[in-house]
Amino acid sequence: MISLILLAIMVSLMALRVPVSISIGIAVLVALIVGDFPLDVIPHLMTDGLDSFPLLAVPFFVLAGNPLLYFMWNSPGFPFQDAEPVRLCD
Amino acid sequence: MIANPAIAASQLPQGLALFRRALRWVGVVELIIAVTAFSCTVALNIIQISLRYAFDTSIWWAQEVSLLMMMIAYYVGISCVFRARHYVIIHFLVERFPLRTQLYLYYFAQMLTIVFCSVVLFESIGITEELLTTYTVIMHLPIFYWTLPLMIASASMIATSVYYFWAVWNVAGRIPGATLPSLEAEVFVDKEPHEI
Repeated sequence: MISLILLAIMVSLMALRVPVSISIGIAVLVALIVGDFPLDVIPHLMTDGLDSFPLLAVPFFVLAGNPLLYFMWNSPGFPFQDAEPVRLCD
Repeated sequence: MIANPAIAASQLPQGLALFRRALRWVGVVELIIAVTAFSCTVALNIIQISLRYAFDTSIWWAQEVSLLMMMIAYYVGISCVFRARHYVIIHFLVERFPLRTQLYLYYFAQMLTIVFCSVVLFESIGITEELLTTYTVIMHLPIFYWTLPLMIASASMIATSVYYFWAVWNVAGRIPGATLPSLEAEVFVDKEPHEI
């Protein structure tokens, strides 16, 4: 039942142009209230989820990709030199 | 006579303009903190890896400090991303509605953000005493320092949402033929001073 509430609220809010992160947060908040769980688990879960040493590999991987792409892009013979780089946001 | 309605709309009331300037400076400080924290983590880990592989030694506090720095970078960075409106939204359904409905949904989204961040902030404040008396294993630092960036980010996101709610409310209806993204862009916090 709580899973259904979670999913329904999350999808509805996302469809209504609420930011995805806030949709997930509100869905969890409602599920905690419906399930009669204490709300002070939210900050605990939010910090514990990120407090992981192996997770550091993700930003480091992205960081390592930047100089690699820069040198590849500027090296002669790189096949996609004329291609427009992907723009994630304006 | 107003020659360009878009320019007229950007003339925000004094209180709102001041709010935007304050948020802009908070954003600059947050960005510096996030980038510094991330750079320190990278430097510390490079040193740690070099020490471990080349000199067969290590810094005993490197892991905990790296994690603390990354928590700062993550949460303060999230706040910066939120202020710059670079979050993920699904817009294609709502853009079919008339502008008035889109605006109501936009206000609704801002209110939900304020509610969620307020819950996170107040619940974090509620467990502060417990966090101040719980310590990490290696350096015996209070766990509170791990939650502090979350509290700062939540407070900052509340301020950002209040600003956008107020600012979009203020300019809505003053620009004929505007769309929701253009209204939001008109009151964008990170606009350069010469663009305002």
